[in-house]
Amino acid sequence: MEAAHAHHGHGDHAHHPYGIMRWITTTNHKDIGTLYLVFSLTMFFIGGLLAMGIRLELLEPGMQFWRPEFFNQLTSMHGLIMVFGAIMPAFVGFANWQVPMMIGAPDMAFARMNNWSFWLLPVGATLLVASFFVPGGATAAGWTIYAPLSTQMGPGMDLAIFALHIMGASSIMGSINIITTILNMRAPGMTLMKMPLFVWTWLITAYLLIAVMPVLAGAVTMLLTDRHFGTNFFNAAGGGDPVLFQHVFWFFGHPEVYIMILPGFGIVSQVVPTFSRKPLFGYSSMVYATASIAILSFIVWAHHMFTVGMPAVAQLFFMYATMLIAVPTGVKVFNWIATMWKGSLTFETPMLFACGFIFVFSMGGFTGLVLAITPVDIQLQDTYYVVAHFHYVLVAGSLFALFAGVYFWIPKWTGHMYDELLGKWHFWLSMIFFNITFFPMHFTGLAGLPRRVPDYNMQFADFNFISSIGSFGFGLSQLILVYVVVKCIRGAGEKVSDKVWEGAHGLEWTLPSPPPYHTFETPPVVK
Amino acid sequence: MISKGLRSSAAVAAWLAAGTALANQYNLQPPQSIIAREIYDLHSLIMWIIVGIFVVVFGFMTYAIVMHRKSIGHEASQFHEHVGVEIAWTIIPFIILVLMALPATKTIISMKDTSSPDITIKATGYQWKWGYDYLQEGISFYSTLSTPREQIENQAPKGENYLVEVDNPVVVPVGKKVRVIITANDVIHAWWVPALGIKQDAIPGFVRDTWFKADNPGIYRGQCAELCGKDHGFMPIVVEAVSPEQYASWVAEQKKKMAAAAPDPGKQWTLDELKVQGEKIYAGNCVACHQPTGMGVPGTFPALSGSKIVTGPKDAQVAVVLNGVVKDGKPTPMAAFGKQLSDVEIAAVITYTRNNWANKAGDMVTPAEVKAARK
Amino acid sequence: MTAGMDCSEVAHAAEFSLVARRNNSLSTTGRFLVFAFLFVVSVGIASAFAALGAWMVLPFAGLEMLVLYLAFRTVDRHAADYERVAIDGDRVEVERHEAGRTQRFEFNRCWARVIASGDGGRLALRSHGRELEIGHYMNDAQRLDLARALKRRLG
Repeated sequence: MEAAHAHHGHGDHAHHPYGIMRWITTTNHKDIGTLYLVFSLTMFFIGGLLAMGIRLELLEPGMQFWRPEFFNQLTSMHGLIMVFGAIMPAFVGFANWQVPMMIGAPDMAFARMNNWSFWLLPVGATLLVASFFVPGGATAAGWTIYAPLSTQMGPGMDLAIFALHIMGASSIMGSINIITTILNMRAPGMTLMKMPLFVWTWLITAYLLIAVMPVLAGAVTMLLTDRHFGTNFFNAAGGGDPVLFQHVFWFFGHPEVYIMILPGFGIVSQVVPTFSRKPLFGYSSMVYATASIAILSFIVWAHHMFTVGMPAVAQLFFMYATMLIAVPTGVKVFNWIATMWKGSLTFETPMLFACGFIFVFSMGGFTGLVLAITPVDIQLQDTYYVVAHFHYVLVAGSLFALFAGVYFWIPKWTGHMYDELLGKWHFWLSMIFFNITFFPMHFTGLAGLPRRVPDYNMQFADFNFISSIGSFGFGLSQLILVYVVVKCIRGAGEKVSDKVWEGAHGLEWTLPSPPPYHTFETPPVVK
Repeated sequence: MISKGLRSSAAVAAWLAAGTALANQYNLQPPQSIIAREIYDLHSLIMWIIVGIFVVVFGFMTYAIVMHRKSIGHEASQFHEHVGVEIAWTIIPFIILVLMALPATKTIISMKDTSSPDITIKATGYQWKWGYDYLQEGISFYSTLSTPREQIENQAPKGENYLVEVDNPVVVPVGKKVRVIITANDVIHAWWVPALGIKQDAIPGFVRDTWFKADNPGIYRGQCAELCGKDHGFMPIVVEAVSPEQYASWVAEQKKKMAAAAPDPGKQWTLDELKVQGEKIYAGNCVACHQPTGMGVPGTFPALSGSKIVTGPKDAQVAVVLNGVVKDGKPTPMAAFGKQLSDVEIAAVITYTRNNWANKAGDMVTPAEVKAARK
Repeated sequence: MTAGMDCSEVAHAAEFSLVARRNNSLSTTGRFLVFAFLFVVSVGIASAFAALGAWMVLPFAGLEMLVLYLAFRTVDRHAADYERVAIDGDRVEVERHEAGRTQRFEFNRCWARVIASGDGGRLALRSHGRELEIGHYMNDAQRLDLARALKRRLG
């Protein structure tokens, strides 16, 4: 970001390289945050392009554009790229920019490792995208890469496995860095229960990452050895168990879901009080709710597998545990609404996205409750109902929270206000097209359309047509975001004050906008 | 169905039209078994609870958004805690959840009760078709998609049961408890019939079971529900529930058919006879991967036209079709057809591939040769 | 890595002495507890999977714990970092403790000169062409204070 050049740090810190080498060698948390965000935006558009490919084929019944095997590659890679390339790195980008500034630390604890964590990502992403061009194409076993289908895949699967390893290593290093930074580098007076909620949610997210990333690494390695080195972890013919893969994968996969949403909760918990001009309602219950969600996330994984045929006792256990998650999640939603209650509300773009988040995320939460009921889940598992459910929590949840965060902090990062009118357009178009795309999927799923199929019976034609049109609109609307961000970085838009927002609270708002290259080299004192 | 013309109009118009035209397509399919009915009722119950919570919660949010705006001069109060309220909104949702869990628990337990069935059918998932064995009756058959390729490739108008029709449906008697034992041959599939309320993953190497009792005669359609490779969307399930008398006569007819299908060991096949027979087998078992042109899919499924194995010695090709291809100790998508197809069928399909497209071997593989190779 | 602000002017034997310490918001015990917690969770999960046959989770959990251990050890080694500036008789002493090692620098009080930037961003002592930057764990205002205090006492 050019703005970062404007103010050089002190003394020996001022000698950082310029041009491309600056970005490759940088150990500055703000530079690395920017790199993460630019990377994830790029992956967001690549993943989005694949989604457009999916919806194009599903526009009408019959096979129009792709072969079924390429369609499966599109769905699989759309999932992998969005999860590991877009959403997770975007939140790490926010953590890099914001955590040090919010706790009064000069940088991340391990600046060099921070640089490595980032630069592993483009390597992993390149492997993923390159897998489209190897013989047999990319992996077509779904983002869940269930064995033994994934053992059948071509070399594209191996590339995906390596990519997951690399991106997983990046996540582990990133989360170790974040945990050390948050725990050890808080400014004097910044006790744990005074930390901004975004920092809290990231602390818990980093803990989840440390707990489950080795599980993913183990799962894909076993897949790799099953594929090439004659092991039989998941190969029934050799005495293995295909269902074991699902247990291992979802033991990682369910906490992963919370890894993708908890920092979003954090962002919304910063935005809502700011534009309500009121302190966050129930701060400590927010912290406890986040922690409870994190703990519960380890005992619900098998609700993704109700149809594999578990004993009734196991189904009951996982159903009850899953339903229990509704309690802390509900507490969060109630707290946000109580924060807005009797506030003095204004609706700048970050607040619009935060309100949109609360609304659509809750809808995803409600369908999650429907899916928690085992008998209903057995009917709806692997249908478009599930597709609707997780897009409500991930697109409207994580993604809207990310958008809220971008509009909330970009004036601070660049020193310039974004284009409010375009921001509002971005919100309303995203919101409307999102619902046009995904709401009808509830109906097709209920009526019996399985997911991951390239073609369907005529009875689903109308809703699929609507979904496709909505998705094209949603995809195009995202170009507004790029335009707004680029405009902001180039310095168009009026200069903003240090505080930027009238209701803003927190250490980052005491710094100049844009903040100098080095901030809080010595910690402020928090009272 | 709305007309094609409407599709080109604005999405909003389509949305409205769809809402009325598809009045019966925004909910679960009409239940046709006791389990399906319980699932339907559970879903309805939960939907109403959710709608209630939705109205209350977003009523508050909407009120705040409208009434507590700065632009109408609302001043912010600074409260940020209220122990009573916080306890209430932790306890009340918990109680609601318990109320939802009770009926669900009952259904789970009855879903699991596969004891004392009247009929047991084994369903086996293959890439990409279903095989059925009626264990007591001794009937076995394969069930593959019967939608013509022309419809899928948009060269013919699509029928009413596009993609959910099969050549050989599963026939069951109405009102009898049918236990379905489910497994798979290659990768994980899932046997799903929405109207009967059952879905069970078909897992290679493992056997799972489930049950249903069809309330009414009718044809119930479902699809494979677990991603199983390229033709995952093209391996439907059709269950035909008929009266017990019709079922008895269907069983008798199937038995007769199976006896008739048993090959006459003495029959001398000619090259042309085998080719004609082989073309049908190819269309049912091979065409999905190796394509009608015999060219396969580059990089994924090898071409048969011009293939070294198909144009080479007969023994090698017979071995591949019988035993499948195993690479690095792992099965590949080229499955072992030895158990699925008879000697005549294998001989026919091999003869067909050796004498079709660019392949001009001019020789034939006889059923006797296949039989010998099996040993 | 981090900077601190626990500066205290101590009047003891030396004429002037000031110690600046690194900021640590987590105690050594706290670090141990966090590491122990993460270790138990991670290795516990991996062992459970190993018992179920998925033993390949274990080496990755081990590798991760190794990285985590190295990270925490690095933090721990730097936790006690401090810098002490003292004037005693005709000597100016700078004692720097970093990662368990202590370095001592001595200047002659008559020859040493204070180099300070106006905003307090940089502070150094110079003598005979040798320059030593000081004030690592201080903020700008504290550095300016120190610069004033030293200037008063040095020639």
